[in-house]
Amino acid sequence: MNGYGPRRMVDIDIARPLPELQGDPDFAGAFAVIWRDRVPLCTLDIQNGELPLSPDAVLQSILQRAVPAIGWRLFGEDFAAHPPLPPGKRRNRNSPDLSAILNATDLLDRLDRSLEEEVETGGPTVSLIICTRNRPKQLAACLRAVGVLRPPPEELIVVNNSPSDKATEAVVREFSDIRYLVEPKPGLSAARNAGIAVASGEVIAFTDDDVEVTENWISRIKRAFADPDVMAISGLMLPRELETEAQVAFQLRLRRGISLPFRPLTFDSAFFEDWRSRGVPCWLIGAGANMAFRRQIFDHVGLFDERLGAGAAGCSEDSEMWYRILARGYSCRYDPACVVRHSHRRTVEEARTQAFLYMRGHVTALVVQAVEHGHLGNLVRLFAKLPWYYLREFTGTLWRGFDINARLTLSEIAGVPAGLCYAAAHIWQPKHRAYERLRVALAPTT
Amino acid sequence: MSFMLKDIDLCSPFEEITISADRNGLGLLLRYRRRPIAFVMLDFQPGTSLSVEDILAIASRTTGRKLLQEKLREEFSFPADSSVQKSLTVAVCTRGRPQMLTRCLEALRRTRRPEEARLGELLSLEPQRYEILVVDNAPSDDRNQAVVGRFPDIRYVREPLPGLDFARNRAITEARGEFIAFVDDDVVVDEWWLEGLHGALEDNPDASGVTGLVLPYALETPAQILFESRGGFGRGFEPIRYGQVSPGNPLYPCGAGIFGAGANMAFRREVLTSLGGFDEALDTGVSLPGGGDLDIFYRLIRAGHTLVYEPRFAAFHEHRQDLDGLRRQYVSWGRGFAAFAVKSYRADPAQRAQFRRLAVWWCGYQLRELYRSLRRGDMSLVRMVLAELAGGLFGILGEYDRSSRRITKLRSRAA
Repeated sequence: MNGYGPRRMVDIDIARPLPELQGDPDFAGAFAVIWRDRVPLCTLDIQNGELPLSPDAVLQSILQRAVPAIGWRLFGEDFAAHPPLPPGKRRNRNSPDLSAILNATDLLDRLDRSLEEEVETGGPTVSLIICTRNRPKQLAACLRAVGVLRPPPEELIVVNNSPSDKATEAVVREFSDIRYLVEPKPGLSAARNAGIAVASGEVIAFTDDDVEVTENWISRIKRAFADPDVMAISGLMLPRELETEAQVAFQLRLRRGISLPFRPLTFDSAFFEDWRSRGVPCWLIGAGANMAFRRQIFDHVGLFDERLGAGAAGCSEDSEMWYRILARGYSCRYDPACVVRHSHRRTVEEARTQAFLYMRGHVTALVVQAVEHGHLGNLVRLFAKLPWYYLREFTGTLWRGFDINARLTLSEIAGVPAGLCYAAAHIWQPKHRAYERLRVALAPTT
Repeated sequence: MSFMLKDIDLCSPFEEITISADRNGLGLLLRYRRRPIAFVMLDFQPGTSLSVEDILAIASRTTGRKLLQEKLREEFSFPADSSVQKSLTVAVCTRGRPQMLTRCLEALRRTRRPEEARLGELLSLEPQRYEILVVDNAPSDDRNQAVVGRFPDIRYVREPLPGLDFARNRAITEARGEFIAFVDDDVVVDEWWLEGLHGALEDNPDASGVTGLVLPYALETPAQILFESRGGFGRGFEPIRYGQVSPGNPLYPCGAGIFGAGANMAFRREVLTSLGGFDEALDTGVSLPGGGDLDIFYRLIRAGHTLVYEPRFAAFHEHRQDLDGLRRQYVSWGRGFAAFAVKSYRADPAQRAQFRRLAVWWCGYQLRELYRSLRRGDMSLVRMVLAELAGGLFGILGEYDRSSRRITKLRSRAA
């Protein structure tokens, strides 16, 4: 059975009676997201050969995987998650208070009550910025999902990046209450920065045009910023569909084998210092398709690096921003309750290009980070850790066979020298255009 | 080295534990509402006292998550389908160990489900549903027969052809139950073993085979401790459904050791018959002691059936007491595994590539174990790994064929 065959997407709410999971001959398996009242608890990837599963068997599969998220909501610190440590370092874990667990009753009721308490009214004002380029159909779907947000963002900005025709503008015109602007300088970072320059909200949230937000996304973001120490938030990115081999391969590679976390994580200077000597893995913090910032952080650390990101180096404008935020001593918080659904690239060619650009962007970001902060750990990662990682990946290929995963790895590897060239060519350019000049340039809007 | 064993159900009040003067460690079985959730082995000085808080701290470190999981499971209630009455034969195949057999049968008679009578009573209360059958394999005297004679309602049958799988196949034909459970004679079943088996079958009505948790009966000698600290027969504390695929296991289903241990297993009897029973060329005692359970698990899965591992279906096995005996056991496991692999390689062409990968993996695994034990300077462990390796190599070199020839001769002599 093909490990990269299409999956049927299933949502299971454990507040309802559990279903029997049937096999479907059109799919190689099922990808289930387990929820309790719109809060995600875990995912299950089940192959057809394991189906059908009775409700009992479904429960058994769910229980083990959902315990960390449920445990955190019921018992807090005892079940808290922590950012990963570099290999070799150990964390002193507090063991959970067993008597509290033993004596607890009505766990599911308590879980429901803790979820109710989280519904927030009020909170900071949010400007949602969506940057788009020549993808009018996806943008339309994205905006339809945004239209369902309860509560909606106080401001919705669409930045059309270096458009080649009027199609995007036409789509935006079909919706109301959108602040529309055009950013002629190509590059996702340039577009994001243009949006920041005109945004008026206390919190600036970003999502991408190939993403559908969930109904309570803004509500969850507001809730996440209730803590005044939080400067940046990232959320959980689930797949919208897993119909093609490329989409499945992308999903399985998403966190390099580290399963999606379903408990909040705080990335702070302790995390930064733990990893500094070998390259801080800021890409673990989240994805640009689901992130939000308190606007004053841009005054402290600057805007997105316009040499990075889609349309420039290819990727990593988000992780480099988090790197800067952490380097300055601020914290980033990952909150899995902020959920979006992302449409992964459908074809293998697109996925390979994406993998190549991902690495080109990542390598450029490592150079940028090393140069801007003087942190040699980035170069340790670039010249020691990465090659070693790819060597291990390749011996793995001999065992597993040359499948789509191996092809994507090859594309990534090609991105490394490309990234070095790109960095050499662009490191001399300024990080981004000056904020004030951007504001002035974009002030009168349509 | 000698450990105390303690069995604590976290739902019932329990007392502090004092390590006896002649013991320097503790093997602690933790349960939640009768369900085993963890087994921990810890070193302690003789005379150490563990208070209730100490025990809770140990439990918390090892099983906090699992405990929460079990509590959550309770809140999802499923109506149990006990309308379907299943009949069960418990088969004990034995040879020449009357004292162990006595202990085994006494434990079987004690097992029960909550709020119900013990199996010993059920044998007379519900004789159509439950029976215990002892198959005495090629006995040289009447001792085992005498043992069984002391218990009312336990059946006794002789299988003259020597070999565990001859005995098991005899049990299959003699049994009357829809399900047949095999319990080795050196095993003591848990008090709630019967509940575990029923539970596994209720949760998985399509299961054709059930394997159980096998814990140590005693950790009194260094050999027993060594074996258990390498994992023993443990397959974990989560129920596992085994079907046609096991994502994440590239050697599936050829690495049949994952399914469970032959010391504690149960099957739907008609499925065993449809598979032709156990392979009598395996498990033939001194000449080829092992492989019969691996082989039946493998063939069950390959025939499209579902096998379930259920930790509630628990039993305690008395491991070999002396290091030499343990070493011989490792040799026999190596041989049994190799014989099973060779036989299946020939019999199941579709899986040949898998078996080659399995062989590579097995060698790699043994070499890694060897490296690890050499680094630790643990010479008894080194000897065990070498023993299993040696057994594997013997096994590859025609063990299965020799065994087949031997039993053909046996059968023709008997005919």
